[in-house]
Amino acid sequence: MTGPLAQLWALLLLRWHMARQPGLRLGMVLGAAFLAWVLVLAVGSASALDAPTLATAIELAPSAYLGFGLLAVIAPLTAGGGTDVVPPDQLVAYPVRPATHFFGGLLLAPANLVWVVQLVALSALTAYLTLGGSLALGALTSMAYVLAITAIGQALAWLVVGLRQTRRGRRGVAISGGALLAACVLAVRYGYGGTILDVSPTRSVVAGVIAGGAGEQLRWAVTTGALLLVLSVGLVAGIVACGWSLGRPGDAGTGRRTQPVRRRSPRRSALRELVAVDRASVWRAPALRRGGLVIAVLPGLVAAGAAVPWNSMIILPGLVAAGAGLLFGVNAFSLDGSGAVWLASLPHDPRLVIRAKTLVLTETVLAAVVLAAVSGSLRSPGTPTPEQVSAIVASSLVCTAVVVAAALAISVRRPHRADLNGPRDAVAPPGALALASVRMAAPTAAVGVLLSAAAAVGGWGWPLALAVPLLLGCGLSLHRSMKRYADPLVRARIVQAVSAG
Amino acid sequence: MPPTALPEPILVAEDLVVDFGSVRAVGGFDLSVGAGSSVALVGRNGAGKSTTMRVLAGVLPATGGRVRVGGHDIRSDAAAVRGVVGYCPDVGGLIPRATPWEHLQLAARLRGMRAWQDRARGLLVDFDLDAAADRVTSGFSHGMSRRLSVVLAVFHEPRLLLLDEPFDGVDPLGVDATLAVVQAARDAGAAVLVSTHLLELAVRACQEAVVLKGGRVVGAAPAAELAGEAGRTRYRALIT
Repeated sequence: MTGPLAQLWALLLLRWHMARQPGLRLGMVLGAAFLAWVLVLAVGSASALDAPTLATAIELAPSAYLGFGLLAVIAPLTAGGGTDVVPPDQLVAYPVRPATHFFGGLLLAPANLVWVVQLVALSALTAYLTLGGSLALGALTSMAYVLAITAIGQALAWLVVGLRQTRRGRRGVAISGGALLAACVLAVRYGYGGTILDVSPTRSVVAGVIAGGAGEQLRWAVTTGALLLVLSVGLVAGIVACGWSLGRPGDAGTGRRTQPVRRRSPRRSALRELVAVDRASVWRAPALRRGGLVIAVLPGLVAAGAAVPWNSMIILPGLVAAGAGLLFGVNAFSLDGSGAVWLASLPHDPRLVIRAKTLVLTETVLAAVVLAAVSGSLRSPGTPTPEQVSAIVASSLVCTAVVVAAALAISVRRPHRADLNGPRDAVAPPGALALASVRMAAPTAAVGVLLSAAAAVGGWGWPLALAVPLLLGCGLSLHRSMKRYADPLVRARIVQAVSAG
Repeated sequence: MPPTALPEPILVAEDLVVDFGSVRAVGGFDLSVGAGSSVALVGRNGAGKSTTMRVLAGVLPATGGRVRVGGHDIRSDAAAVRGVVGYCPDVGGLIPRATPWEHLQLAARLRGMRAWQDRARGLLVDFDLDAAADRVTSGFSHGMSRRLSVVLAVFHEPRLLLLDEPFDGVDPLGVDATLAVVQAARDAGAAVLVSTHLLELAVRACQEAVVLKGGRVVGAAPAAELAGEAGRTRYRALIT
């Protein structure tokens, strides 16, 4: 059997050759080039900062490093151990080593847009912390931190995957997770956030970066060496945890597939019946259920913990909506699986199928956005102005519409087969997901900035007035997707794609 | 006494062509199946059987040719065709996280069926799926999935029953139940088209057999003539 790196190379080549849709490979290459360019810009921005801004940025550096650490742990937990290069069900006949799975997940960490955004922020911070000194040494420390914490996060995620293979393990993980969450909420509620930050190891990391920039080589070497040691431990622990999880006989996922579900009453119309089936398809998929809960609860909790000001709350709906759209929206027809062939043979107006998917996606995204906005604003200081309230409402509606319109357009143009039956199944291949996340996050971020500016101009009517043409634009995009779907050839292509295999 | 016009067969396919880009999957397929008749579509893997079935079910648009089902043209009146067709796809064909009962509920709603529950229960019992009626289908074995696909195809008593590989991986009791519903459909005046690579079962299920190779009909005969060693020899000669 070949080594893990050779296996990983083979899987990456396979994935590359599988990306046959027009523009996908070019998009991935351009995306990587764009990221490199943004990193250069972020690093270069240091010289343009004035002294007070620079001081604030440096003061916030330990929090930013801690934030990256939290994300590096949470992201693979939501993905059930990290992103797969090739879906596991397609590899069952091959002797793929656990280390290959683990390294694949590490390599695909940048497929998570939030991870990339945080990496850009850390790159900029590294440049600020080492301004006038050695950027290379500071960058090495930051890079060691990014790699170490990402490896530790994925190792932890694989451990949780393994523990959750049994009923007792799932209960233990749920209790531990709940207790940790409650502790975080209480710590934030009673003002211990600052104390936690004071004892955060990221202070030492930041000190190491600064030492690298200032030429204090001993301190830099100790910090960087410690991080490399953590990285080594993370890699070994990850490989062991991955092997243990994958080899553990368990009942995860089988319970819901073998237990009867409650029989519901028939719906009054064909559309409602299709909506009921789609809704059940979402909530009965372990990966979608877990992802939905995380995206609905976590951003709001973080925002509440940080007591985000009302102005910043205008940006939050965009972040949450983009995340919720990635759950299943970017490949909405995959909910039907191989049943799409049978469904296409039934007598019905085909527009009902896409309408049902649109409704279920809209309610999912909107629910996540509202939950995050409400919970996130609980600790926002002071009372919001009417302008801020109208901007948050407008942002929630427009970002939901933007994500639904973009997701449906992608679903019609680029359908994929996705099982979504297991806890680690993804709705689309990693490259497609990364591109889709950019396509949804960029416009929603722009909407947030635009509505923030409108709220700042004054007059509560401005954000709502701006929302009208944006909503109309989304409606137009949705209409185009539905029109495209009405073409029997397009429908047949979608059915073939989602039911393949 | 003036001669009476013969009724149009329920399924008429003329010069059916299906291309996938530069690949011709079906090339010049002709077939007619009358009321109360059953035809087996046999051939090797990749002969074009499933593609043909998908076109006849209204799932895949044909590149060329003409198909009429129950007097409706499939190109201009696909919805009416789907109304009279019952289709069991070749693989899967089930919504993974929906239960059999939810599949039946959805089919009944989209087909505008009333008082369907008793027939649904009866079919689930006949195909030994009553105990699994409220379990999601992603947990089903291959055989169970096949049986449910047949149930969904015959549920509304279609005029044209299209069964694509209905016996694949199905146990003997499931095979008997499928043969019984094929017979019941014929008795009720439906046309039945069964696509399979299992020659013995094709002979048991159907009166006629059509052999496909490379997307074209290369032979047609009464199904009984393909039975036994002599039939198998003749069949092999046609498909190789």
